[in-house]
Amino acid sequence: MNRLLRRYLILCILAICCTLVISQLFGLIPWDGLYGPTSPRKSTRARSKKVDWRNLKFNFPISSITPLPTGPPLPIPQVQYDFPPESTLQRKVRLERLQAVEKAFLRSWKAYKKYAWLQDEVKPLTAGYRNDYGGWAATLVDNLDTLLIMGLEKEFKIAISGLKKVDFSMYPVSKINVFEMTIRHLGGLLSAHDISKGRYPILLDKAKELGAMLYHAFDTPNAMPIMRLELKK
Amino acid sequence: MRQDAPIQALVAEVGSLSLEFTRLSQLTGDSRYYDAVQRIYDRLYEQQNKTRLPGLWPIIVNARKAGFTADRTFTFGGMADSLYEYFPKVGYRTPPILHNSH
Repeated sequence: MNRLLRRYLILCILAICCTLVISQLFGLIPWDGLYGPTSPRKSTRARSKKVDWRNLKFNFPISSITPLPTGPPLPIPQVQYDFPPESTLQRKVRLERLQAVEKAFLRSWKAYKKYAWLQDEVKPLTAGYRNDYGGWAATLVDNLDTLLIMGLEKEFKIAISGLKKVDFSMYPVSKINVFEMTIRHLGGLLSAHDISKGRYPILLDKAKELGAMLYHAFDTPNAMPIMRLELKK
Repeated sequence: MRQDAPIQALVAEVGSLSLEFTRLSQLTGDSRYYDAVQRIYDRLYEQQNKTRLPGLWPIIVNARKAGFTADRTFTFGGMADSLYEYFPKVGYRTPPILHNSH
């Protein structure tokens, strides 16, 4: 190879390396976005408007708040049957079943990652996605604790990095289903927090953000919650 | 953003916010969330023996009037199940308080 060509080749390789380093430094390569639908995420792009739930005015503010009771909770009695120790064969069967469950879970989880990352749900027949729960990554948030329980640490960490993009101050894409968001999103965040023993502060941070939103469902004349929360102009 | 609770709500929806809200109060030290769901529990408790099947609550409740007694359909299955499920779960997560230890 002649000197000029070799020099040109070295310059090209250096240029590519520099571009990669700079892109990585400025977060220009969306490694997380390599998961997700190939079609543009219309729902997230349209939601540039924000809602300041913490400072949103209440029409019926509560004047006297019942404080949380203090002291230790009641001990939970054992409800499980006292099984004798597992035989080798029983253990083998149990582990095979565990693996089968994990395999089924991972199949669904990977489909969500590939076709509906950060959306609410994957559509299994069309490989599309839907956002019936406000567009705050319902499947991701709901499964945080499941990932931990199953010992899928790597997947959990991927989910945590996705969670950083879930912003409860974003303008909702649909009416907020108070019940579903409480049991899935709030429940998911808090149980993951408890199971991981507080090791991931983002979980409680997001739970607080969400709590500020959901609390507005109780802003009614008699403090009973509205079940479909929406913002009116 | 004036809003009113619905005149028809599923009792499971109204009664299954308590575990998460109580836990949020415990973790943040902000009693507002606990207070919000305790109000629901207080109303449920007051009316528990005034329903058509005393001891149980029917599926459809009037949240606007906080009325839990009118409807005539009862179940432990869907639309009511988690209401009952949450009682022991919340009960075991919070220290005992006089009027809610059922």
